[in-house]
Amino acid sequence: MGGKVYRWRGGLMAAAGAAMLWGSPALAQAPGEPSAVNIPTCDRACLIGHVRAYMSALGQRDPAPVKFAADARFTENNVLIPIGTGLWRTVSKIAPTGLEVADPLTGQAAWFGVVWEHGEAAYYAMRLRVEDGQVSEVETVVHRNTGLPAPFGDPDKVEHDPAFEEILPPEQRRPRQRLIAVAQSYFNTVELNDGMVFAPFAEDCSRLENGISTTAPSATPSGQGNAASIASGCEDQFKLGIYRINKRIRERRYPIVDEERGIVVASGFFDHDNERDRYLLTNGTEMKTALKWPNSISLLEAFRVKEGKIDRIEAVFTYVPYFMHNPWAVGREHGEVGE
Amino acid sequence: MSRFLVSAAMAAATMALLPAAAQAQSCNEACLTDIANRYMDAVTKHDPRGLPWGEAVGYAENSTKLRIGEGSWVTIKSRTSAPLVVADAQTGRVVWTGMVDDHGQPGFYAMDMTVKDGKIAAVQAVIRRQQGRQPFGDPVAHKPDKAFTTTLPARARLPRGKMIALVDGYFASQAANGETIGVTFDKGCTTIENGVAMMGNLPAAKGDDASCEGALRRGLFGEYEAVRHEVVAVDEARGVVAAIGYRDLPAAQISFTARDGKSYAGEAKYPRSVGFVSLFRIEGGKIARLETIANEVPYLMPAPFNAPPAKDVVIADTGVFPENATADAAGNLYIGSFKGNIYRALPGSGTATAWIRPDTTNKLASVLGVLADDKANTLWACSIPMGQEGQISALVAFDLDTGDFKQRYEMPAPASACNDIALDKDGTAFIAETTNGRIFTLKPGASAVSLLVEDKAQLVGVDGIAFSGDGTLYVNNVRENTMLRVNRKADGSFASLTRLNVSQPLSGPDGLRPIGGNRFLQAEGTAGRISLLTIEGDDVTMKILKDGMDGVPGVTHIGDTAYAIESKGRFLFDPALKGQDPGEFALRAVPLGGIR
Repeated sequence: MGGKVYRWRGGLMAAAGAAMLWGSPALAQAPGEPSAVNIPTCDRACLIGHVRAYMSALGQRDPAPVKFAADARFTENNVLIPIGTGLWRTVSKIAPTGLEVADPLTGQAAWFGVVWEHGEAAYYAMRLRVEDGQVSEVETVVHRNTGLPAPFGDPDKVEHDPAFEEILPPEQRRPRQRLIAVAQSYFNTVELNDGMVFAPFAEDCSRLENGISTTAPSATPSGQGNAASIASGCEDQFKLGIYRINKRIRERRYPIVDEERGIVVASGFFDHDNERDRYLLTNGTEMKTALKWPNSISLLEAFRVKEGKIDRIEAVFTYVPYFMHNPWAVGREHGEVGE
Repeated sequence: MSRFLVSAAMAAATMALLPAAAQAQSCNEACLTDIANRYMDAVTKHDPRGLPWGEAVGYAENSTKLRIGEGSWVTIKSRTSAPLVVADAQTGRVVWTGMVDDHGQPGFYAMDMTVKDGKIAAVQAVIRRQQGRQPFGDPVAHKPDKAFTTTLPARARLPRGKMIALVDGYFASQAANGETIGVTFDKGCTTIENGVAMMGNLPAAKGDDASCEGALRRGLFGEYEAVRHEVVAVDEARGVVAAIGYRDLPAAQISFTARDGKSYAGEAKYPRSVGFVSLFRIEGGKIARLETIANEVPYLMPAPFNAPPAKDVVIADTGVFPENATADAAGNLYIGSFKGNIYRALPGSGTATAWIRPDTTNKLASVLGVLADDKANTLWACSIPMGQEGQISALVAFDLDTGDFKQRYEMPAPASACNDIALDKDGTAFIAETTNGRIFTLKPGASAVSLLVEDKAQLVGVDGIAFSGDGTLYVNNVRENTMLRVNRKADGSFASLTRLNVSQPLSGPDGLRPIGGNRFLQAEGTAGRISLLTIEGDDVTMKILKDGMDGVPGVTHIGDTAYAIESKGRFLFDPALKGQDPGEFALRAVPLGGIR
């Protein structure tokens, strides 16, 4: 299948004739969408091809080979900036492999991995959108080692779990909306984490955050911000309430779903208002917040859901000013969840 | 505090408003300082009740909008009892800087508050906490230089326009990494940021490395891509200026070679911006002290309260060659043109269409100056013959609502050029007549213009004309590249002309519009630019707002947006370009103030 996408924002060339039969195209629009017609023409391979082309161009610090739409928009850590600036001017190397996810229905795809800036590693997640064979949106989260307490794994040892590539047998798959609901339940669990678990977790659930496992048992402290130094296991951590400081998971979006592989890619913010700098775990242990002041975490996060349960998570996140807004988030009427 | 409580608190605050008479009073420096201190106390108590909130309040921390009662409102437990406060009744801005603590952890805090009619309209804070990259000193131990709180002797003071120009010059020098240094420094000036003496963008190893001037002369700001700033408050008595802004550091290079020949490593290897609030102490025309509170934010972070930039207004016609424009109180734009039409753009519209056309009654030829007179419901327009036989230059009045012709006031012989108009407070129109160096007046109800002054030496070429807020009349001269004050006697009659000292050479000064107080917008046709002028005594401080345009004979403004009239007159007057397509004609929108 070629790179052209007949989408509601696209030229809709093939559908134009049919639309004219019905008069104004506006009459054919589905609620909340500019057009009722959405016939994906850029399949997974096509979208991954765009992702790889983008990453290759980024590695060369040259956006010219990327087929950008004339009105393409690009954000780095939630700020709209010109394509070719930001990381484009500092990147010195890109990890040879990354976690790749694609969703032909939404025409969007993502890449999670490691980049280097002038030789210094940074964790990187990128979402792009393809319309009419052109990249129209690029959203990136770049986590640099700025000294703030956050997981930061060894960039040369990052391994993306091969489970994300696995095509699930049909009986282990779940429909798009259920996958989104499961991801949503994860955020509901993180929000105000007081031990109540809304999300279904597989027993072997694991999570990679900024290149380091934050769920695997650790004999030694795993560094700043790693929850595994307190407890291991996805569900057990939440039952213990170690993420209590998350006042709100905000501007939740789910732009990419791969039903075959059971993957959902989400975007959002974790708001740490730090109104209290101490809190109790459900076992009564008193914890102190790493930071004493309000901050937010901006993230792109991929969930693998098998048989309705979360079993793999990979996320890239970074600190941003408290309550920062994502230019791609346009409100609840567009399906966003959370305040 | 919960959102509900905040809402309740806001409601309570509304109920506790000051009496109507008090609300109308302006808030002087003491009032502004008091509100700022009370605000900070409210933050530490996590309780916004009792503060004089405006109707729609803007609030941002580290460039991010959020709700009052959230963010630092729930973490800050105490604040310094000795803040540095800069209050400016003229701008209604007050800047508060000092130490705060979050759950006992000290940090640096700078807050810029806007107060309108005694009520808080907006607050933005730059807050630097301990964790993160350098520089970060000791917020408790650090004490800003006492000079910031010392009243200057009169001889050491500068008028505010020049103070602002010095600060603008400093940031321009910084952005240019000292290639040109348009300011002077006191020898004792050191750069302090977050309580740390700085050598360019790095902490200084030794005291003299932190010299304000030295860092510029050595070119130690090689990492900077841009410096975006806005001066928000001026205290002339203490010689203090407060500015807020951003430094953008793309980190495209990991090191740079300064003018001292040495290579310096960049402070970080990734792109970032740094939000800051800087306080300058200016003594005897020099920058004497510089204190900054700064905090890293994502690269190219926009300022939180900037309105979306206004769009250019395109004139839907060919062969227009616009010359001047004016705006009425409703936001309609009226544009005079060499074609002879007067165009109008409705409020908010990006397109102007022909509204008044030449006819046998109005006898418009080419239209230069236009001026909306809301009080008299009149649009004044200067018509000049442009070589058309039998035509006489005149001031022509139209109904501002309908465009209907009202009256025509011809310029007395000899052949003249009614060029532009200004209105005195009593409604008298003052007309600059370029060809013969005359200024005429037209009193309300008069049937003919009267001569105020004719001066062949200084006024032949008189063009832009405008009143300051105190009723002083100023003109410029497009031929002589000068600016003049027209001194008048108590009865309003002419007394003398005073040539003003302009901070930059002029190149074809043309349209001149007041924007309040002693500030004006000026267009320069030849230079293709518009500037902000501040006139203090005989001195004019000029700040270029936008240049690089194709001939700009006029300028006007609506709110915080200036519109530069791009005439492309060279296609009309240059024989070599005759017949060539000048493209579309437009009024270029230029933001006034704010951080871009």
